[in-house]
Amino acid sequence: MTDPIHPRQELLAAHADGAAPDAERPGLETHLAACADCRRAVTEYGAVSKLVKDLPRAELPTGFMARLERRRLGEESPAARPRMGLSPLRLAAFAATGLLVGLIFFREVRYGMAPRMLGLSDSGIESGGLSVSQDDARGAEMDAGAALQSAGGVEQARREMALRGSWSGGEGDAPSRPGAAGAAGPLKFSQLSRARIAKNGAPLEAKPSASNEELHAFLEQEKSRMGIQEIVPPSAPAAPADGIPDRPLSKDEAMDVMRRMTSQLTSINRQAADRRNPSVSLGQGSTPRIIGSKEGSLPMADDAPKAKKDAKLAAASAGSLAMVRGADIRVDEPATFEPSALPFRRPEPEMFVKKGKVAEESQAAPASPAPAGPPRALNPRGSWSATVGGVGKAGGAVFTNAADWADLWKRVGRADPLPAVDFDAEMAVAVFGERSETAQSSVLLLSFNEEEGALVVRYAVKAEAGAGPSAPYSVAVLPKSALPVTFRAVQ
Amino acid sequence: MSEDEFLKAAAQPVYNLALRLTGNPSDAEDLSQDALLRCLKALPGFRGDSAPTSWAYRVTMNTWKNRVRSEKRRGFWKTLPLAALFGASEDGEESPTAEPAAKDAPLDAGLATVEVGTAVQEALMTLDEESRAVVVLREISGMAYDEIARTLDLPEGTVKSRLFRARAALKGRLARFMEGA
Repeated sequence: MTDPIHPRQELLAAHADGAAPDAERPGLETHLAACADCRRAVTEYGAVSKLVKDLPRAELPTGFMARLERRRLGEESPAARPRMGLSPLRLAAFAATGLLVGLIFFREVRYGMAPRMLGLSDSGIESGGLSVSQDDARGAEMDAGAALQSAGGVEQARREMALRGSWSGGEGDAPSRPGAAGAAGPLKFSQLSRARIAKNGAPLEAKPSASNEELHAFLEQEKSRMGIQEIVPPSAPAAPADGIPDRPLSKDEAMDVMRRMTSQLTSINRQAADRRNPSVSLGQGSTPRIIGSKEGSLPMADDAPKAKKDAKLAAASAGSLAMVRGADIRVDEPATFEPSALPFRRPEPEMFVKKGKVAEESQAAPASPAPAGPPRALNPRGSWSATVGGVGKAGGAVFTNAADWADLWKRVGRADPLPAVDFDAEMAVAVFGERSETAQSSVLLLSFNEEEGALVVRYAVKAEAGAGPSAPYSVAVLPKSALPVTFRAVQ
Repeated sequence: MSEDEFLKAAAQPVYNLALRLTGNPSDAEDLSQDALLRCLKALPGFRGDSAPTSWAYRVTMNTWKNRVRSEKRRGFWKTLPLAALFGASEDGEESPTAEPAAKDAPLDAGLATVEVGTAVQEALMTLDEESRAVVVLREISGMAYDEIARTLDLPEGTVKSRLFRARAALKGRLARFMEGA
C-alpha cells in the first residue's frame, strides 16, 4: 500500500544524499518501498548529484604556478602584477567599449553635443556644485544603455541601469539629457539644473533619479530620435564563447577573435537593417523589382560578349532596372490573383542599343524566331519550389548571371547546394506568390514557350485553405532565350 | 607546513573549485590565485586545526564572496552575454562546418561527455551564487554538511535547505540527461 502522505521533497533529496535524519529513515524507507513516485524522485536527486560530481576534475592550467609565483613576488609593486592573457570576456568588453565610444563620438559630431556638454559642465563648476557634471555622467551612462540596447537587448540594458544607480523613486526629475538639437518635448538637464540653481541658489542636493516609466519613455524617445525602428534582441543563447578556446589567447588568436567579433557585430547590424528594409521587394502591384544587381536584369543577347556590351550600354543609358522600365503588361488570360499576377516582360533590346546596331543584330541572329512563328517549347533543366521562403510579393524575375542566382538561392533560404547554371547557355526564371497567412499556396511553373516573339512562362498558383502561412516560389533553369520574357498566370 | 607542501595539496582543488564557481578558466585562475596568495600570507599563522584544503576552500569562498559583491556593484561588462555576439548566426555561414563534425560518428561519445559537462556547468551558472557555493562544496569538494556550514558561516539547516533548492533547480534544468537514471 502506498502511504497517502508523501515525505517532503527536501527529505527525499537528503535521503538521496545519504543525509536523511536517522529518526526519519525507517519510515522513509518503508514509504519508498511502496511508492514509485518517491523512489523516482530519490533517483533523480541522486542523478543530479552524480551529474555535478562527474564534472571533470580541472587540472591546473599550464604556467599556473609560475604566474602565481610572479604575482607573489610582485605583490609589493602592484604595477608588476601580471594580468591574465586576453580572455574572451575581456575581448568582448573591449569591442563593446569601442562601439560605445564610437557611438557617443558619432553622436557628438552629428548632433553637436560636445559644446553644450562642455558649457554645461562649466556652468556646473561655476555654480559651485558637481551635480551638473554628474548629470552629464548620467547622460553618458544612458548613452551606454541605449547602445547596449541596440547591440544586446532591452532587458539587459534595463537591468544594468537598475544596478547602476537609483533609478526608481526620486523627485520627478525628467530622465532627459542634453540631446536632440531643439527638441521641444523633454526637459533638458541644462535648463533644469540652471533653473534649480537659480531657484535655490545652491547646488542640487539630491541626485536626479527617474522612475522606470520615465526611463522607458526616454528610451523610446531616443529610439525615434536615432531612427532606431527595431531593437533586435540577442539571438538564441548559444554556448558562450563559441569557437573560442577557453583559455588565455595568444596575440594572433586574440586578433582573430576580434575580427570575428567585429564581423559578427556587423552582421547583427546588417541583419537588423535587412529586417527593416528587405531588399527584395517586388514593389507595388504589378511593377515588380528584379532581384539582385542591375546587371542581372539587363537584356540577354545571343552571344555573351554582346550581352556584356549591352549591359554596359544599358547601365549607362537606362540607369534603372531594365525589366521594370520596359515592362510590357499583357493580360490575355484570366489571372488567378490580381494585380500581382500581371505578367511583365523584359524590355526590347532596342531600348538600349543604337538603331543601326539593332538592324544588324536582328539580321545576324537567325536563331530569333519570327514573331508569328510556331510556339517552341523550352525544356527546363531543373526546377525547385517551396511553399515558404519566397519574397512574399507576387511577381517574377529572370536571372542571367551567377551572382544574382546565388543571391536568389540564399534569399529563399534553400538548404541544398546552389545548382550550377551556365549563364552563357542558360538562364533561370522565378515566380513568387503573394504571402498568405491562412492558405498553403504553391506556385507551379507549367510551360516555357517561345511564341509571338516572347518567351512565355505560364504558371499557376494553387492555394489550399487553412495551412498557412506561406510565401511560395518556384524557380526553373531554362536554355537561354533571346526573347523577352512574359509571365502569364493560368487558372 | 611548508608553502610548497601547502600549494601541492591545495592549488589544484582550489582551482577546480574556482572553475566551478566562476564557470570560466580565466576568472577561475584569477580567483584561485587571489585565494592562494591570501593563504600563503596567512600560512605562518595556520595552526592545522583543519585540513589545509578545507582551510583553503574557506579562504577561496570568502575571496569569491567579496568578488561577487564588488562585481555586482560595478558589474557592467561581466554580464554582457557572449552568446549575443557569437553563435546563432542567422547567415548559416558557420553551420556547414559545424554540421559534419557533429555527424562524425567516432567523436560522438566524446562530444556527448563534453555536452553534458557544458550543460551541467551552465546549469550551475544559472543558480544564484549562494546556492552554487553550497552545491559546489558538496558535490565537487565532497564536504560534509557541517563542514560546508563552517566554511560558509551558515547554520547547517540553511545549508540543507539551500542544497535542496539548488538540486531541485538543477533537476529541472538537467532532466534531459537523467533518462537513464
